[in-house]
Amino acid sequence: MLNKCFKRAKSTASRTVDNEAVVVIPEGGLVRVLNDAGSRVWQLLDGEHTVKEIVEAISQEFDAPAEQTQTDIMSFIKELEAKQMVEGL
Amino acid sequence: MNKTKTLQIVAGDIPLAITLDDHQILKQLQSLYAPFAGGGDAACKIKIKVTKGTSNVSVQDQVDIKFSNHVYQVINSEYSARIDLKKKIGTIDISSDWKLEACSNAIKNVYTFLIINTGGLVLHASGVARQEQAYIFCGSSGAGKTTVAEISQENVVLGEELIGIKADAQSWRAFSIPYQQDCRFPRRSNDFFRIAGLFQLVQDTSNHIIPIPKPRALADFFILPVGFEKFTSCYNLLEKWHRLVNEVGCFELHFLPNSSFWHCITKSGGRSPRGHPVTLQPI
Repeated sequence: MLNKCFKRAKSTASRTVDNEAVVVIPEGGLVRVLNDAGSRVWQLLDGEHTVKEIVEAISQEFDAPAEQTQTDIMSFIKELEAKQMVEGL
Repeated sequence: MNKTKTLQIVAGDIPLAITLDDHQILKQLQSLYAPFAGGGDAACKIKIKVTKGTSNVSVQDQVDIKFSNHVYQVINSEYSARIDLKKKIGTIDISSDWKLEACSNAIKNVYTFLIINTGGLVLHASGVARQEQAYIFCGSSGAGKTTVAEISQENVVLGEELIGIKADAQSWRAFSIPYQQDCRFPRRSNDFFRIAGLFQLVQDTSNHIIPIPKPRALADFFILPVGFEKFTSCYNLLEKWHRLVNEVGCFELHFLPNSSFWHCITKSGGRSPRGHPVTLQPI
């Protein structure tokens, strides 16, 4: 998974408000607010960054331990994928 | 032989021409929609037909909504509607088992569609106009939307379930959407009212309001009407909502089920410094 890229699903719509991403999944009308770290991950899920690159970026930007960051991000992306908010490339 | 007659109404600056040959229902609709009587070049001409027996949907609560090639279709247990946006015509078949209620629900649904189609928003909310300003109250079922409307009947009640919203260059304005359930309120209006605030209702043991941070306000208030995900761009709708919550104060209104909460709202002016909770003494 670390070398895989994910892209935000076309069916989702999102808007960043005060550094927090508000994401809408049209099917089901679900709306989620992501915190600042989650919003930054969401931004990097552009199909051009591998999971490993996202982990490195977040770890550096938020001064967070790499191992824990990796665990959290992989879990987060799996959750997004399960809700069809991102697609693996 | 019954002669078809036309009823013309206007809501949110959207004129609608309704024709039907059932004079009893027509008369009831004229009374129901008295505050909305008006004319103008109809945005849509609707023909309503009353058919005998139940509708063609076999499952009682099933709702089917489709949109493609400028045509919007709704089928449920009360009625089936087909609106052609390009031709500006539509037909509604009403089951004779439902009649007036079905007509009202169908017209409400058509207006929801036309409002969104013309760039407006529709909120699942109650609304009250007071001193020329609109106060919009949102919340899930049981939160108190109807309670607030009923408590506030000395004011203009814009609606207890659905409120239309449009933006102009200066402000956001709320208006009533014609609906049978609202006709019990003594004061109704077809005017536009500048929105003073959006309030998320929380029944509590004291009255106080708390500003909602913008990201949460957008998440809490944003609505994608059922069936509309194929009709309108979710992104465009989100952008409108973002502008709305950015320009209009959004608050949690903790309230007692009596009119004392109005003192709480008007004392704060419906607004407060950003980021500072406003907690007033219990009334």
